[in-house]
Amino acid sequence: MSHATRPDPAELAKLPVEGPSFDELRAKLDPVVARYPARAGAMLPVLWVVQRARGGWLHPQSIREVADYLHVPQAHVEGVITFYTMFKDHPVGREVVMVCKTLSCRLRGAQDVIDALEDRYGIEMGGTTADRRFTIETGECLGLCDMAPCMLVGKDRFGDLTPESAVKHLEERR
Amino acid sequence: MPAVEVSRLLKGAPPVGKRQTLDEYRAAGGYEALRKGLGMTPEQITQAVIDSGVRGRGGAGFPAGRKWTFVPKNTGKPVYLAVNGDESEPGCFKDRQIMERVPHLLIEGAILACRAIGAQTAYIYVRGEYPSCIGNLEAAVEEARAAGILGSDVLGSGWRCDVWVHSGAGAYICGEETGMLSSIEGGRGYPRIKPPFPAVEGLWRSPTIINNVETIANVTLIVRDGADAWKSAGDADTPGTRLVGISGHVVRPCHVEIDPAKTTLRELIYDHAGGIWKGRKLKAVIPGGSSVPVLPATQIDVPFTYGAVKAAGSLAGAAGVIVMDDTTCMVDALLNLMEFYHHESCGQCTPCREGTGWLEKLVRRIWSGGGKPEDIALLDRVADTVGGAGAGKTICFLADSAVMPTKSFLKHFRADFERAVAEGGSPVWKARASRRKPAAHAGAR
Amino acid sequence: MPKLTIDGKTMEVPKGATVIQAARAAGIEIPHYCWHPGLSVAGNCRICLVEVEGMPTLQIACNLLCADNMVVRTQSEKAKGGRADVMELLLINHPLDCPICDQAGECKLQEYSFRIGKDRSSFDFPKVHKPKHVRFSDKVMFDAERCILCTRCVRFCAEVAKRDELDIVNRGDRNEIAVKRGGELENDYQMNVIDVCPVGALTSMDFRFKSRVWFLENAKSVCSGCSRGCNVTVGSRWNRVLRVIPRENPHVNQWWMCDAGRFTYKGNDADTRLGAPMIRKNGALAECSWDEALDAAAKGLRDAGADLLALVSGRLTNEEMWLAKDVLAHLGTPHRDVKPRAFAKDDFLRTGDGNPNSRGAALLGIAPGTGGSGLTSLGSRAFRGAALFGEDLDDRPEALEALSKCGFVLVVGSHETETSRRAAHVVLPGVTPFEKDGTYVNVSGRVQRLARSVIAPGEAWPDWKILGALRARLTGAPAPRTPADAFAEMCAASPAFSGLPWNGLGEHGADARTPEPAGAAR
Repeated sequence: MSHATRPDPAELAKLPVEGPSFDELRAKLDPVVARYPARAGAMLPVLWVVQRARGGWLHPQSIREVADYLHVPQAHVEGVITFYTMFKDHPVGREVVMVCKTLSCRLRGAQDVIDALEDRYGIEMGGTTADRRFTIETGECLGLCDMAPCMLVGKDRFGDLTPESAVKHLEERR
Repeated sequence: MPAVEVSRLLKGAPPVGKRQTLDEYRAAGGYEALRKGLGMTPEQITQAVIDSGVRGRGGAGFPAGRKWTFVPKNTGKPVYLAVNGDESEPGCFKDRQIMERVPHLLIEGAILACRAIGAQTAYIYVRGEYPSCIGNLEAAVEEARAAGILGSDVLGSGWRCDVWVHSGAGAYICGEETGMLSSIEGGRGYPRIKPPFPAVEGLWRSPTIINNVETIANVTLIVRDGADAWKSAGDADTPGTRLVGISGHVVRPCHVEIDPAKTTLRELIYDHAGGIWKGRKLKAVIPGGSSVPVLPATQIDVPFTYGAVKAAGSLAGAAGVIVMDDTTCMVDALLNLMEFYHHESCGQCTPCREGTGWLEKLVRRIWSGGGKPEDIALLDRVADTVGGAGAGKTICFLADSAVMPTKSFLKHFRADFERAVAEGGSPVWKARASRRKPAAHAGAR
Repeated sequence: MPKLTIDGKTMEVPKGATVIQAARAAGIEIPHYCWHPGLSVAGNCRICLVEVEGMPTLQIACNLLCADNMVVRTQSEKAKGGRADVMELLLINHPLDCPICDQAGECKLQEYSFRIGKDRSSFDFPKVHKPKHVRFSDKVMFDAERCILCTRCVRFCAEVAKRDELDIVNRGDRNEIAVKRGGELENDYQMNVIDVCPVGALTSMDFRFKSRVWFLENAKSVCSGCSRGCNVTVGSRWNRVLRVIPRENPHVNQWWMCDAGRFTYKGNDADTRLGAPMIRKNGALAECSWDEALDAAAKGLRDAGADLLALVSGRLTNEEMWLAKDVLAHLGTPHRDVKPRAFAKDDFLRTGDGNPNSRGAALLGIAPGTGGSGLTSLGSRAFRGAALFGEDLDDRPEALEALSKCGFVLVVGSHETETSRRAAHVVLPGVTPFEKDGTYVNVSGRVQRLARSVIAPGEAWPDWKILGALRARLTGAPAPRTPADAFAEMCAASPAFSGLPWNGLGEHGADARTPEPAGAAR
């Protein structure tokens, strides 16, 4: 989860910035900014675009560039990123898997699904598979209670999970 | 009595996973309400909504039309509409049906609401965990813009109206109306102290009306059919239909659109959702999403109106019915909810930031076999310390939302807690401890 | 003007006033952490809960607008209970490290805990741990565990310093105040966050662990860093100044001061402090008695007479300037001047004028008189003698060179300087602004009291006493026994100060009597 311990910025800064340069992203971002009467309003959509375009997480350089682009202090961008669980300030797997853990899913076996995924990939929730294919974390009620237990893999949803089917869905995506 | 489903909001909706296109929507009479509305004065639209008596479907049940009248006139500032699609309340998935399947119904309602309150910009805030809703809404907005329904000349009226989809990023608190405003402005989703009220000073300190997705979708129907026809479903307390989600230990977890006056909680569980799974008995039901008090099995013979559910000791809230069978350990269920509120507390104000964690720790101790007999009374006392309906100790309702389940779980299911203390923990924990590393529990922080 | 009742007291308040403001004005203190009179309302600490008749829930007094016929109870069981609950929750994760916390003694958490809290906690879990010893800069240290997230510091930076350098990161009970990653606090007013912090989360790198605050002797004084004259409280112990913090004055600095002002005390204990009078004998300065030195100084001044160039420091008090001017008038010299002193200017408090009493000098006419020369003439014109009252020319080598060629040079000063070493024939040890009483006039004409907080080293005399003694020797006029005497003398003779009472200046000072420009309507 993004609000575990704060990563060492010096170490993160050494990692390469994936994806397009910020100037290339501007063409996509400018119309988004225009939807808001104040530039800062575009914070969340801009962070989404940058995160998706640049390897699924927000590199320290991306954070600085977003701050400059939106004319807000860098500390403010960091405050926003660490508030929302879906923004990542550290590298993650190619896809983020959110396994719902909240009541309607728990009542129907979410814990068994979580256990199975932890066992299969040898990680704890929040961890990334060894091949960096998936970061698997728990999510709070994904609003798919009619298909509990459920999970989101990127933008795709999977429901009526069993320990076996959950593993199978992920394996099929590899 | 057979299960009676009504079909208004979801009439003609494609199956889950699919989106009604603009052409399909128009073929079914879509955007005729808008055409009608453009021929009405803003006051007439507002009056229709007032006459309908539609109450906020986000949970609080405040009359939507009256809310609209709070917008001050002639401030010289723009007015905004914020549509709350941050459906994050555990057990709730009704708004998803609208946003994902019939997005144009929502967009049409949003334009009409803008027209009524004098706004020209609406933001539909959709939780980040709803990628299908975000994608479908954005596609629908693009269709509408291309068709001249949105933009600088709505249906040739010369009036400008824009609707934008704003994606959240994982924070329950952004479903709190002012937390949502903070998030739309690009900040941490901190709820705001009132006054000022959003209708006076909301987005960018301008008058802002915030309505739930289902409420706004109903605006389309109210304008299209007229208030009287719309009121033919429901009763004076809860006019109109309600979209309800039923989940948990039922045979067939599902959503359903009902006439709330003609459908009881029992019918929702036993008819629409097929009854309790695995042939078991009902133990408890949370009728309105996780924040409302839990009800014991004896309290379900009530119509699903705001008033009737309240009289039964809970709230219809955001219509997320969570059903628990007789094997459920209520300590385990409460722990799950306390983890949720602790995790989702924004941390802005003291009682919630500190208190939700304390509640979780106390329940976890009882759950994992470390509970002392006095912990049960302490849990009850700490809940009172943190908040409670109408305590006023916190900026928003999140702390109270953690307190209400706690108090009601202890009230109706104290025996489960006493048993966990006396017998070395929740049966769920004991079963787990024998299989895996002790105290392991998803999401434990 | 709404009329309301708080705890049985009925009061009329200005429109727009909040209950916490109204209560304060009426002498009823409602506990508060996040509320600060100089910052926007945050409403997050929740400790100011009060009960209002007709309102079902408790209300926070900081965001509650006073209304007609409102009846507020701060002491009802419900209100007290609500505050006690908030207090209990504030403490569950707060470290119980008061014995080693620098804030102890001026900690609002301690204070309210004692006043309104419970005597024990039912919380028996491990506390949430957060970073400690986080350097926000070389001036400010942060302890996240002690922080109660009131956001006063965040709001100060954004609203007052106008530099959004602080924000909150993480969520819920892991929230922390933070500067940007890899960054530091940079604004010139950052140390105010230490003062506004109601707990021990933000402490001064300079002051921390130097003394328990209850051992400090506090003097209400004025900053001598620039002509703003920010009101300060000077804390000292063992006759050493240990910190300078701002003191509220709505007319001058509100609640704030710049960081540089806080460090003006730093030279106070320097090795270069002068502790005894000196006379130059055989080319070298040698210590001597005050009588000997004063006689030599008086003789030198008398000999120079009307050809004496006098530099009167803009750091001297009004009383000292007044006495200096009287001495110069007696000698008949029109050559008097104040050396300008630069101090970084900004658009908030810092005026750019490093002389705290420039305005006093102007009001008293410390400037070249008719036919007189000033500082800039040094070097182009020979003077028979020169007197530097509280001043030096270390920063002006050419002027210093010219000064050293004068037949007689008197230097009155608190520190040994290149000027005193090279040019002085007589050196009289004066004191710093921390070591004397007096008055300054700030940039906007506010006459404010400077208060002594420590005693000068050795045999140093306050400058007013030195000037009084010199004048006595030159004119026979009685030397003032106290700065108050000198002040009274000045007020009687100088229209700008006419009628101002020494003891009546109070903690916030009073406006100087500036003569009205001709024809100006009152």
